[in-house]
Amino acid sequence: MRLDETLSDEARRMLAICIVCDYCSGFCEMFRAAGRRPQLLDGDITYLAHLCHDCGNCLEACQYAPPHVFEIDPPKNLADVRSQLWPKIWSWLTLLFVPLAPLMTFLLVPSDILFARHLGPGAFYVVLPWSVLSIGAGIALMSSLAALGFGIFRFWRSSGGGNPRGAIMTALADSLTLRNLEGGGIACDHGGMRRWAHHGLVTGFGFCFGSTAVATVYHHSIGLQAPYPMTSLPVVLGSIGGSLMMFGCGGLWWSRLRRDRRRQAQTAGGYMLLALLMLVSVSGFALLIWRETMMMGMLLAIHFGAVLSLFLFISTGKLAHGAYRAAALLRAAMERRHG
Amino acid sequence: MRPPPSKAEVLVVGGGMAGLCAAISAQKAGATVRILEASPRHMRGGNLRHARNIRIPHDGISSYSPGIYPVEEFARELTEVSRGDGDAALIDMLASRAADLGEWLADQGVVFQTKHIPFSRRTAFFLGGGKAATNALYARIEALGIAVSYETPWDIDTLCELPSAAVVLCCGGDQADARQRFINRGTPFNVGAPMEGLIRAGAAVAGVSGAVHLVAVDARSPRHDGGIVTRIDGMQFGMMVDAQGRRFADETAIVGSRRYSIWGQTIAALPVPSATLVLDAGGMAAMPRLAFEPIRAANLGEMAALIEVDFAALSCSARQSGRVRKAPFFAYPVVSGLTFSCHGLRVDTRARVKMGDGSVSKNLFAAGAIMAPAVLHIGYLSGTALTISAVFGRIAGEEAARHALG
Ligand SMILES: Cc1cc2nc3c(=O)[nH]c(=O)nc-3n(C[C@H](O)[C@H](O)[C@H](O)COP(=O)(O)OP(=O)(O)OC[C@H]3O[C@@H](n4cnc5c(N)ncnc54)[C@H](O)[C@@H]3O)c2cc1C
Repeated sequence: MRLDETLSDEARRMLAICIVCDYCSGFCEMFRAAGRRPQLLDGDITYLAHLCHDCGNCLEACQYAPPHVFEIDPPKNLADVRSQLWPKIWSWLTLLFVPLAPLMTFLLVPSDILFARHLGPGAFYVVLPWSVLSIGAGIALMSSLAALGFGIFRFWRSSGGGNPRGAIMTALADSLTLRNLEGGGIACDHGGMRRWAHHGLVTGFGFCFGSTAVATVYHHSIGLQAPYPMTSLPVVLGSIGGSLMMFGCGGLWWSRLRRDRRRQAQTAGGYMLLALLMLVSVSGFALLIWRETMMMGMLLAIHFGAVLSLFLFISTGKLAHGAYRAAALLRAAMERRHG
Repeated sequence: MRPPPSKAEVLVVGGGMAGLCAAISAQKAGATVRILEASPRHMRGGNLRHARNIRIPHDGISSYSPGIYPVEEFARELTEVSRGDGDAALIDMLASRAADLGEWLADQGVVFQTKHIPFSRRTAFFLGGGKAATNALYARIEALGIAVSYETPWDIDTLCELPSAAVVLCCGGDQADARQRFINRGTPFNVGAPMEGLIRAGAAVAGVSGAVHLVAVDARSPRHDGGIVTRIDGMQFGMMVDAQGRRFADETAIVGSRRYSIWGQTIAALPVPSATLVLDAGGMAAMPRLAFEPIRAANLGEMAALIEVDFAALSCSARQSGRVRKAPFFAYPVVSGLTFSCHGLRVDTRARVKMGDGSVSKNLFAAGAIMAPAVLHIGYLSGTALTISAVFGRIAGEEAARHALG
């Protein structure tokens, strides 16, 4: 991944001023890490960009924020650098699966099957065969994870390589608590709301993942086929997860709107991801509620399309930020250990 | 409850550190207050916006700076840097009233940084710098319901008709005056009009007219408001040449924390007050990071052309210094940048403006950079400018309220 030259030059110009000023060293790790890397090579810039949690404290406190001629706006500038990894066009292409899956289902599945009521174990698979669902999702997830892994590998190498053992626990804590959103003592822009919403979203995502994992075990080991009863583990886990995700998406959407209006920023990638996550949870609930009606087939297709998109978003969309952020925090923890 | 008066009882001119402290104190003392500020909202705070740390004495452990720094030590240092020309009563007042400043500022919402900063038992650092402190103080001003009029410069023509029962002048020095020939590192709004008006009207003068505090800055800095990042450092890794390409100082002898200001003064004293820091590849590698990119040249001839000096003189200087040998070559254009001027008003320990005839104004107060030369004369002690602004701002606010409320 080569950095766009105008963007990296602009980031270099800005970060040079940030390093010399150093007033923000108390806010977050990004500024301290910048101080450790005054050369500002391309690898340094990507690393610093992924360290930024986009809280906005530095911009509020900046003597050089626009309209000052120096035009220092770290959150925006670093977000621009980051979003090069998930260009808007890829996100849009990935989102095509959302309408594509129901459309193909509509065209390929005979309507007397698609719009019939199906009950009992295996009902879903009458409409969309288990093989289609699992192979489709499997390919999407695996290829996406592979691409992400490759990207992270390159990121790690370009930011200095090395063995991070010993820094992992610190980095894990930094990632899970989002400590850098604390702003070092001055509460940042809706920092509390963003942290809780983000925690909710991630936990919800985890629950849904757990639900799928349990269902896979049911399917293969005990031969229990979906749909599962309302009180079964997969449904309970999925419902808790879906609710948490909806709360998280709502909270993050709200704080993002407020922030963008204040800063007059455009962060399409973030909204796309939130919309997709919201769609995944809402379509999941819709499927649960109406699974015994003739709507089940189309709802399943919509949910499936959204999940496919989401899996691809892991590498082509903003969902990748989690992995890069964690890797950057790991790098920072490693640098702190070794001085 | 008293009916709200049509105009504020205390008028504060200037919304920097001094003005904000004065306004808060006056309001707390019971007066209604209005702040007039020359700048637009986004540039409010004066030079507090650019500052980093503030000097605060503390006899015991404090939560914002380590060790101890007794009031007496602070007073002694103040006397030393002002070389006996500072007003002794003001120095004592400053040192003793500064002791509770940390707690007071923290109560107003200012947050201090305690991690990831150099050890400093004498000064406390604002978390996020002075603009963050500015934001906090303005949030406090808003919460207290104090009115602020932006883009409203105030001038004084006569001492007889003041617009309020008491006026507190906190409008800084005259660094931004068009007659200043240096780059002004701070806010462009400190043109010094009220101060000049008062001096014309007979106020007593502190400091020395024309005396200024300078540091070496990049010549490509904006005319105003470049703040702290434009400073040039690392002269000892290369050579400093004047407009002719000749060296004029021993670069390796100017070290320590005063190096910035020594270079600022030295350059200002040159016949053509500008210089260039020239480095070779090795020197560049040793340089600290600076805000602007250096000028680059493949050889000294090209460099001479780029910085417009005589090639023979430049190569002679390079040989002489012994530090500029290996291509490629790098350069930073350097001039003097103005931090503050050492010319202002005299006040008494109640921050009342003193007149040339020995009398003291009853309803006119001054605090901050506008009267700092009365304390420091032409000397300077880092972090003290803000201490003066905050301490005398608080005193002026209290006294102005007391006068206005009768
Ligand atoms: C780059 C830089 C860094 C500094 N760093 C430090 C530091 O780290 N520590 C430290 O102690 N000191 C520092 N100083 C000095 C310190 O910032 C100032 O001395 C201090 O802020 C002065 O405060 P003040 O309130 O008296 O005046 P100012 O901060 O200058 O405020 C004056 C205000 O009055 C307004 N004004 C001017 N004229 C009028 C008018 N006619 N009508 C209405 N309003 C008017 C201005 O717009 C301004 O807002 C620094 C200065 C600079 C330039």
